Amino acid sequence: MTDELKSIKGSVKTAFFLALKDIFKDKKVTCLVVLMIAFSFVNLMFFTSFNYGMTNTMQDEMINTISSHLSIEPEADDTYLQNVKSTEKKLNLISGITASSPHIDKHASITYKGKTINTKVVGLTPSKEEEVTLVPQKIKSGEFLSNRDAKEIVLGKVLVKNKMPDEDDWGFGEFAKNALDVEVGENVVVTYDNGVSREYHVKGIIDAGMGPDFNAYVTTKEIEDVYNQKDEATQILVRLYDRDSADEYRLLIMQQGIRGDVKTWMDKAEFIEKITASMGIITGVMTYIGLLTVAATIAIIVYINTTHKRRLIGVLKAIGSKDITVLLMFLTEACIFSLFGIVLGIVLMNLITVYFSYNPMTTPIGEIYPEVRLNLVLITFRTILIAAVISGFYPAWNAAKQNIIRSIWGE
Amino acid sequence: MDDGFIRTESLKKTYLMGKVEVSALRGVDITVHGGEFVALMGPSGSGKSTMLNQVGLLDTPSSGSIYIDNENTSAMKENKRVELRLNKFGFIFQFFSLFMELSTLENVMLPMMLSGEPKKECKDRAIELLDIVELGDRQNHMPSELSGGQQQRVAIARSLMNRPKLILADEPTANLDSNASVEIIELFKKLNRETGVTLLMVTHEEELGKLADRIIWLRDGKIDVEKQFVSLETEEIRVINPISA
Repeated sequence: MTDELKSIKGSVKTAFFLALKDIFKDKKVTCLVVLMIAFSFVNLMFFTSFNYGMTNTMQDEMINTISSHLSIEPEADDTYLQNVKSTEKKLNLISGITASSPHIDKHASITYKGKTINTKVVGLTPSKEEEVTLVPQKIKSGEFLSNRDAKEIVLGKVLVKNKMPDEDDWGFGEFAKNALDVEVGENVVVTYDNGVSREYHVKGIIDAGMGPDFNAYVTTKEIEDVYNQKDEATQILVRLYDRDSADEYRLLIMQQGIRGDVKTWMDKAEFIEKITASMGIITGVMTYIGLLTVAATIAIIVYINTTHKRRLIGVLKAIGSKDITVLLMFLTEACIFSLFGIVLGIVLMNLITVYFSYNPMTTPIGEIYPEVRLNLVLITFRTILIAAVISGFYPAWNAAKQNIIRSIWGE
Repeated sequence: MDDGFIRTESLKKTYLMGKVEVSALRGVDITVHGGEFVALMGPSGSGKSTMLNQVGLLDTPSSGSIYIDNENTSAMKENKRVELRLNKFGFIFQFFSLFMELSTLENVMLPMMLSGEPKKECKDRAIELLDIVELGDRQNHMPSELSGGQQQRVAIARSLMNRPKLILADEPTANLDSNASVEIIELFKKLNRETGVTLLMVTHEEELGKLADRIIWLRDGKIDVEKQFVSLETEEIRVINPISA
């Protein structure tokens, strides 16, 4: 080994040795610093994890109540999909597709005791819908439709005036004003956009937390009867085993020669991306503030440390230590503090995640859990370490460059 | 011709205190031969510590030259100065300059660790030196568990780790009682005698200075010629002309 290499090795080893000794000298201070960095880590992770969790919940809710994994819609020039039964047969032959449910949507107005509200009426086959979405399970009161129902209707909660005194009128402004004061078991009159009016018995009220709350539901058979339509649909919802393979199945469906515009749930989730991106900007700002706090804290810790050790830095340099040894010593301390803080932060974040998995946050869009993604952990890990090195560098560099005589005399 | 292990020529050091220039050294010429034990003495403000710092390469002179082992240090780069401090010099300060978070053994090992030597060799050498300074049984003690005299002996052991040619001691007994002070100086003499290491020690205690081979007196940043001659004439203490010795 050359003298130069030996000297570098000596500098690095001594810096690590002194850093470790100093860290464990005052365990209480070390614990406090580590705890502080751990909380900063949690602070950086927490809001972003909730943002991910919220995105996931919104996507799941959307898949489970609106879009399913795939939806086949009429092409640009068409109003309806044709040959729905044949399409369903083709879909059922593709392995990986678990079910499909055709919808036929119509515009209509619903009247009850002189009050009218305009809405979309969705015609569906309840037994098929159960396999594709969770809408049939989202009943707030009454029951969902059955295949044999003809004069029954299920209303979204937004269409109905709220009877619960401790809840507001759903917060939907104009909808709330026109909402019908109807209850399960009463009759409403639906006037479709073709002019046909029919009286329906309200069988249930849906509370899905999303789009279905604005709709009314009848059976496909009933809509076909009103419009005298056969084997047509405005969309066919398709359920897959795995939501992440939606793109692959989109291509597979298109290869089967099925006519229609096949959209994945990701295509429909653009609005969610926009919402979470907006949330991301807010959490990003909070993250930067959190990061600045970490950086400032580490800089202060290193600065105080170098001030306390002023005389010993002088001695160390006098007995032959290079500036780089002093610099490395303080940077190593900053990094070790950060590493311990990050490890504790990961443990705390896991505890928080476990807590919320048992006690999720209940929101109008569903239950939200923080979702800790590995890439987020790695990014936060890297960011805190970089912040530690950058913020610790200036005070450490100042310490390394101190004049030996002045340091020894504590000037 | 022996030019001396340490030789200074017209060494000057000027400090700025606010806007006022203060001359700490005003052209000092000294020679210290290899293996000598020399005491630098003088009243407060005479420049003795400044002189030691210049020779120990802890500071740079305003003008003049310092030769160590016939090498002019004025032209040396910082890396080379650091290397000299690490491998050829040993330092002892008046305050107890130990790292409180390190054990006695670890404090002594430090200079050799900085040189990049393997841990085992560092440990063996440190134990050997702690035995020499009679603290072999205190190697795992923390500095706070040692008396002032013991801490200073640890500092002496540390200064010897890299087998230096020169030990620079800045008032090493200033914070010790008289018994401990004599013990430290006797230890210096023993090391000087047994290892041949050159010793340059600043002290303001004449009794301790007398124990050195010779004394160089400073006053107002210059060699105190009058005192040298008085001393020579009276032979009260052994003082040799610092330049021609």
